Amino acid sequence: MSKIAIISQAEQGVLIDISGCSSLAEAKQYLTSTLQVSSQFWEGLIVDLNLGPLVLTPEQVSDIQSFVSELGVQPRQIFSLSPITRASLVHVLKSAEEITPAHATLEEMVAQAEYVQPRIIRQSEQPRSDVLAAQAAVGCATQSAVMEVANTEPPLTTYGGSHSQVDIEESLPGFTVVSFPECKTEAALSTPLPCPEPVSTAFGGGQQTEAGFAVNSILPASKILQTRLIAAGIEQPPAPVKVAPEPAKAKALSPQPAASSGKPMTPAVMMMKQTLRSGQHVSHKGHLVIIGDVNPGAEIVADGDITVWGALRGMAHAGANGNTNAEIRALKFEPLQLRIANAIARSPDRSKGPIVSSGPETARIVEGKIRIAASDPE
Amino acid sequence: MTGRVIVVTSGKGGVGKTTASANIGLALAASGPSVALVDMDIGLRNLDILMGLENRVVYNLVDVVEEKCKLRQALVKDKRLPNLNLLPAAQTRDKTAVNADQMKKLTEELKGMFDYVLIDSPAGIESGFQNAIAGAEEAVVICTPEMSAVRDADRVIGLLEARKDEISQYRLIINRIRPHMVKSNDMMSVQDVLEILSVKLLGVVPEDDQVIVSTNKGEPLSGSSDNQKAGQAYRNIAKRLQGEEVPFLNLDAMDATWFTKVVKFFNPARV
Repeated sequence: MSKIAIISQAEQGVLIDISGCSSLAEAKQYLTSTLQVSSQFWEGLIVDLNLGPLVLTPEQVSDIQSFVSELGVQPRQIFSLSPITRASLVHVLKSAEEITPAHATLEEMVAQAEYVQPRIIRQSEQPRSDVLAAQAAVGCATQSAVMEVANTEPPLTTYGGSHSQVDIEESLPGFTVVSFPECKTEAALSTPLPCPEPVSTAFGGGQQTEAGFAVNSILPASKILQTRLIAAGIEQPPAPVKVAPEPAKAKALSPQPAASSGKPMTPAVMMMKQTLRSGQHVSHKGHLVIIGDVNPGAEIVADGDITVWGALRGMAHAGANGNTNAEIRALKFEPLQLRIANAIARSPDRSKGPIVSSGPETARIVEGKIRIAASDPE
Repeated sequence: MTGRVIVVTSGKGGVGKTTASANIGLALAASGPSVALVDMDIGLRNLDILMGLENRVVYNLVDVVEEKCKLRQALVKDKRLPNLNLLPAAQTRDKTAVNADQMKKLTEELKGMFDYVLIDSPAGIESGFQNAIAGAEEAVVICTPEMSAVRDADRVIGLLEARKDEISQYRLIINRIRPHMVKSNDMMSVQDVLEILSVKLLGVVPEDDQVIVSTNKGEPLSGSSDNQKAGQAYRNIAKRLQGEEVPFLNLDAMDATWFTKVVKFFNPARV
């Protein structure tokens, strides 16, 4: 398991998973190296933080909170496997609010520990205008339409329910119980934790078998068609791009309880305004738009289409969940390797001369093989 | 089949570990035996570029270790020689993605499949280096004739000596030597380096502009026989690794310019 994973969730923002880190110092090191790379990107995004089995005191919790906020990340929710850390989170929350109701039951405290939304953590109320612009650029008609489509796919991350009490106890064998004034560890243990499942981000998370790329879960053909038609605005006239999903609908669509309902959510289109350099890996469960170059050695993976407003020189994998209708388009097409669903195409060898891009091009699957053609406005 | 596992290492960066790995690998494979090149520089993968195979990489070493794919799937077959295979490093991960035990297991598996397993180690002596030497039985230390490179090579040889039980022998390649500078006492000679390091010499590779050209082309020099300097040196090194006795190159003769050649022709005593 990697030390840090950034998992983008179509409807739930981004999850920063540092459950692979074994100490606070290590966690901070990985957070620094990963988050600073794309600091502007985090601004205004809904971010969740998973601390995994890290055991932290209240001081360390506020330390890590202020640490990530310095890096430009404002976590909406913080998850932890450790009851100690969760007690610490409650402690921090309480001291931030400066109210410590003496009558508050342990259950109430623990409930809050699950979905920490402390006052000290700000949350963006409005979606970023550039994200909306990207949505418009890619042709997604409305937020609700996109969400509807996204909902037909299996949710990437399952919160809650999956980790039982047994898991928690197993993760902390023979651990000495440390009590904080507000919360007892035993009580914390008795509540199932909202722990995100670790998700592999390598190669789009698709399960790989001996045959190479296996199709993880393919949308029914009709659904894909529907998706594409909506995206192109053929079936429905494009509504004004304004994110205002009805709260009830959002709640029904979202697999995640409480905290996110009625709030603006990260759309199924993720836009990044930066150059992706060698060694950087971005994966997203929707469409991916990169405003900038993708350099050799960088990898971008999306379940939907990939659009690069710049030069694509690295590896791009569209339709990573098996969607053979996914497309990759770029202004300058010089990729090392292209993958759409389970098809792979590689660039010609260097010894045959440099690849010369002839303007914006689009790659799609034609008769089972990846074909690249000049982009036309259709 | 029980192959030989040879790690190519140096301590110092930029002395030519990866270039040597690619060239020796290609020269070995060209003479018959099956060869696996393993890039252990996780996060800074280069060997695929030198081999001109970067567009063929699908899976990598970390995927194999994490059992996301089979070893056979991750091996990239060379476009020139079918008996040469590359196991590329992961580019989007770092050296902590694997550990020494996993590397031992991996090299054991590779040993069963290939006559030679060449491991390209990362620079430094931290965990990446420790992982690279974990499964190795022999070592090739690369060193340039500079004080800093010699000191780092000395440190690495010390670390290799500490693992005598696993690593049966280690030999030295002196890379990028410039005979005219040695002659004018501006560069350490082969003897100077050997005096400090006191190890067995495997080869001496002269400085050669063609190395840069070959790197950019993705065609290791040792692959074609029409080059005289570095390419020939690497082919000789491959022969020595296979147990052949090959005399060291006469670097003075190689360094001769047309002018010195003319002078030498008329007056051999002057040069």
